[in-house]
Amino acid sequence: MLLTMSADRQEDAAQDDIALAASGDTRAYERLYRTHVPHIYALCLRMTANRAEAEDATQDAFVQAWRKLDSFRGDSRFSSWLHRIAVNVVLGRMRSRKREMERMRLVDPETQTATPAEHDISDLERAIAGLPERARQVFVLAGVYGYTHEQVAEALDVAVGTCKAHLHRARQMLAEQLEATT
Amino acid sequence: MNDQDDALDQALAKLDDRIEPERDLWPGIEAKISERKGGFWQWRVAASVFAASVLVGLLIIPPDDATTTVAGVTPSEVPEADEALFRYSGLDAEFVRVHQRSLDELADHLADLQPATREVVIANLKIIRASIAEINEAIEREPNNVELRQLLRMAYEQELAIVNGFRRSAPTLERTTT
Repeated sequence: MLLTMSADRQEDAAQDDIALAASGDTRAYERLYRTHVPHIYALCLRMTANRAEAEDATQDAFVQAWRKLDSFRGDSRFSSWLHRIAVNVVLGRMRSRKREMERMRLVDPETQTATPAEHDISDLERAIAGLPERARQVFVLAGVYGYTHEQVAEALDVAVGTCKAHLHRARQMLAEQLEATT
Repeated sequence: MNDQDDALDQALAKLDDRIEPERDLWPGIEAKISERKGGFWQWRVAASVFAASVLVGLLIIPPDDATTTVAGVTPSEVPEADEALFRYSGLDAEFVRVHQRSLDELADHLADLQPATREVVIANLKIIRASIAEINEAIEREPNNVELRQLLRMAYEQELAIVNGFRRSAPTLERTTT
């Protein structure tokens, strides 16, 4: 079963706050933040497998969303809109970090062992955090949040086939990991 | 689908879609969005105060016949100074008292002005009063913004400048208040 990004009831209740926030009301935006931050932080943490990076990405996502509120037309749910912004923020930050690391020639992010998140996580969360970066990105977006291969491929700027291969690889690794821990 | 896949899918189904950050991230977000929004408010408010200050210059021109009484002009045409407008100003009670007395005098003698001058006075007061209201609204959003409070004081000074400009252009008022 795929995770839903937000409850419909929250969407309805948030309409006023969205309008208020778009007009500059930071208190209304804080209410939106309080409602949505657990979902956005969960996404960022799973994508980055790093608590500090997830916190920074979450903050960036909410700041960017604030700046783009004028462009939110309500064609999609606010939570979906916010989710897309967060995905782009995380991927953007990871690309920047990767470029920086390549310049410094420190480590290859594909082979880097991710730091498991420090919160009380399940075996699956820990296993996801341990996936190679690209496989983790694909699995979190397609396997956890239900993005299509086409959407993931576009976001990651890879071929759809590559995306499917990463997902297959990630599922295999996770299944083996889970079997080993049970 | 094999047993491994089943186990993975079952584990996936149990994943919580909500994870609370270990620290409150809002203060950092608020600081960043307030910087931008603060700039926006300050620019907008400063612009309105500046517009009012430019118009104040029009009041320096003395009327051709300052003693002409215009029928139908009532003190209510002068925007009333709501006490709430002063709540963020930090101005002392004496300033508020003088400010109110000046507005009362203006209301009492408004009919002594030529129609064109009277209209300019009223229009300017409305502009500056709108600026003050806007600044107060901005301060409600950013209570600790020192620059906004400075702008608010400037707005009150502009309002007094309007009244003083009127005093210079109304000989009958000069006679009654000096």
